[in-house]
Amino acid sequence: MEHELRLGQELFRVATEERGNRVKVTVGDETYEVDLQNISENCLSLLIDGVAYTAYVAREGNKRFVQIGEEQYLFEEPEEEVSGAIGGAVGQLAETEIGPPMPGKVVKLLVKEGQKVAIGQGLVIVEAMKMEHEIRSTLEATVKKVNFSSGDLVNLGDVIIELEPAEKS
Amino acid sequence: MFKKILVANRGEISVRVIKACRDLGIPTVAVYSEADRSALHVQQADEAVCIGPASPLESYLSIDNLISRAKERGCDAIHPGYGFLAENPEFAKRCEKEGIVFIGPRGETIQLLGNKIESRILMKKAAVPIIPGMEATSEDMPGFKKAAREIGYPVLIKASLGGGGKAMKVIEDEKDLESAIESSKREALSAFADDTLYLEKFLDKPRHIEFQILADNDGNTIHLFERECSIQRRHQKIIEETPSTALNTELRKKMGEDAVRVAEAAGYSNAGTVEFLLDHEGNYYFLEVNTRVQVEHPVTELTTGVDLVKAQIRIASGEKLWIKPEDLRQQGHAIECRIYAEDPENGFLPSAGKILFMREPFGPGIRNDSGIYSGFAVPVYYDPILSKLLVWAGDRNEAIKRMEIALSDYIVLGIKTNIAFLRDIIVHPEFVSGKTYTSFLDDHFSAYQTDSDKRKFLSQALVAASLIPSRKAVSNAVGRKEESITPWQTLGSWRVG
Repeated sequence: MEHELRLGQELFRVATEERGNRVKVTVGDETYEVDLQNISENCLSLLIDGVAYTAYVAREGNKRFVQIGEEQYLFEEPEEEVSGAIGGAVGQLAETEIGPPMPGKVVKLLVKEGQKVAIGQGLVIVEAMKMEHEIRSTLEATVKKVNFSSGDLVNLGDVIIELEPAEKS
Repeated sequence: MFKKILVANRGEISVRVIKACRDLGIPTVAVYSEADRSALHVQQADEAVCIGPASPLESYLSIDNLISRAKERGCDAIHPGYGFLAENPEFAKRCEKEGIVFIGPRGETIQLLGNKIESRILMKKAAVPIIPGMEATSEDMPGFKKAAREIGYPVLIKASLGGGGKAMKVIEDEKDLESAIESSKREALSAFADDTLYLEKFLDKPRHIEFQILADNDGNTIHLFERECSIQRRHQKIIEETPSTALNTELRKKMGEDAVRVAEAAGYSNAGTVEFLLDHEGNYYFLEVNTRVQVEHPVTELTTGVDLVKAQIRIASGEKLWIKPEDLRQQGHAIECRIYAEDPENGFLPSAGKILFMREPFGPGIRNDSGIYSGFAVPVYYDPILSKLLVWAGDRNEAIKRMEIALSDYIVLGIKTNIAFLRDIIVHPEFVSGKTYTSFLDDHFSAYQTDSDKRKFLSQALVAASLIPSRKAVSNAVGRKEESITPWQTLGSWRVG
């Protein structure tokens, strides 16, 4: 079986060939003979050249979590379909679209529609897990639209504020 | 002793209190918000009742709801845990009025000490050294500005009813004061239901040293030595230990005596913590009294052998203090790491979501105080603390080594946690050498990234990732096995009664 696994910016190709508890795994140019025991849904015991590795694993959607020793890895399988012109996962907003870094509540809007904002200027304060986070502008821009009010609950991917970048003079 | 105790909290501290109640043979009632039906504390208690919607103001902070549930379930005492209403004098007074014992100090004591401004005036009278700061709060911005100028920048904004770093901010320059005060007021209101703030002088490179005290209802007071809690991020403690590397026998004795004097001056009863800042010349300043069980109380339990939560309950039930100071010793060394649902590599953003899998470390000298389990969805509404990992060992070096390994063995998959960050702190040479100041994280970990060059197990992790069994395959295999073996076969010969 062929797998494509992404770790941050790096892409790895892994091939597996199972023969009972023995698995031949090819990672790039390296080939490993692995003695595999599925201890549970979340625990694999691997013997590679007589060295024992216990891997704790979990999967959710296209994410694969692995921990060996103190090291934790989050691999992602590339998405099957390309989501059109917008591209990227949910929550990936353009620089002109201001959204929360995690689900939370809009505490205070610091700008109004039509207002000019500078780089680093606070736009909105969002609260999650009892801590406030101020979201600042990374652009010199004008506030085109404000889509939420104080007290509104917001999710990842929601656009609280839309900015219109300032024209370069 | 009490007939039944309502635990007015959630998460790991509720579980901790329930365990103490079990030890004492007292049934418990857990409370939960609509977002917490699946929380661990609900599963651990004998009874559990819903106290309202997810928003803390309508549930865990609702005095009316808590009192009426306590009465409905026939509880004669309430343990408030830490946070939420634990240091709210109105709650303690209401309990007293309703004939329910509040497991903590008297309402008037909480009011006096909970008001950091009044308590400071009291300590000044009792000749306990205090930090230069504002002894009167201000209603308006010009008042705050004037006070800040008098103290001199940098100043620290604190919530009068505060704790846990909530609403606390360091201000270097007057231009940032106004927005910081507004923000702190909102945070204080949502965390403590009161937005009174005060300012104090911000000291450079102090250590945070606190003393655990126990006092019975007749005012017999002892201290159970210190805890050092200097490793803090945004004034939130994350690693605590005892004994402190900064105290010698003489200084420990002097600070301990002052801590007892503080408690006596306030007419204190039950468990409490007297916090000090200690500078590098051995000068210390009274900071505040926390009138509740501390998050980090277990390090004291591990080194003294005293169960502080059980002690709280026994004292509240009217028992006279049974521990004599001369019988107390600090044995070995204990360290606590607080496990938070947050992403250290991404500005410590809280990380709510489902824990797909977790496994706690175990072994000699390891203790987990936890509020989570595999499959638990961490809600977005509350403090991101998940659990506390504690180790005990014969000395500090052994304890550090044990903690390093325990953190490596702590597996939480599915949400981001600070476990790797804690481990990097524990092994840092300055931490190992005991040079711990409240500025430690700013000095050594200001822009934290895990070192990807140090990845040892990448190939093995890729192998494992490609071999993760599909859910179906495993559950089929295991399921068949389990079906074929019934308890009747595995139990062998046994008898009822």
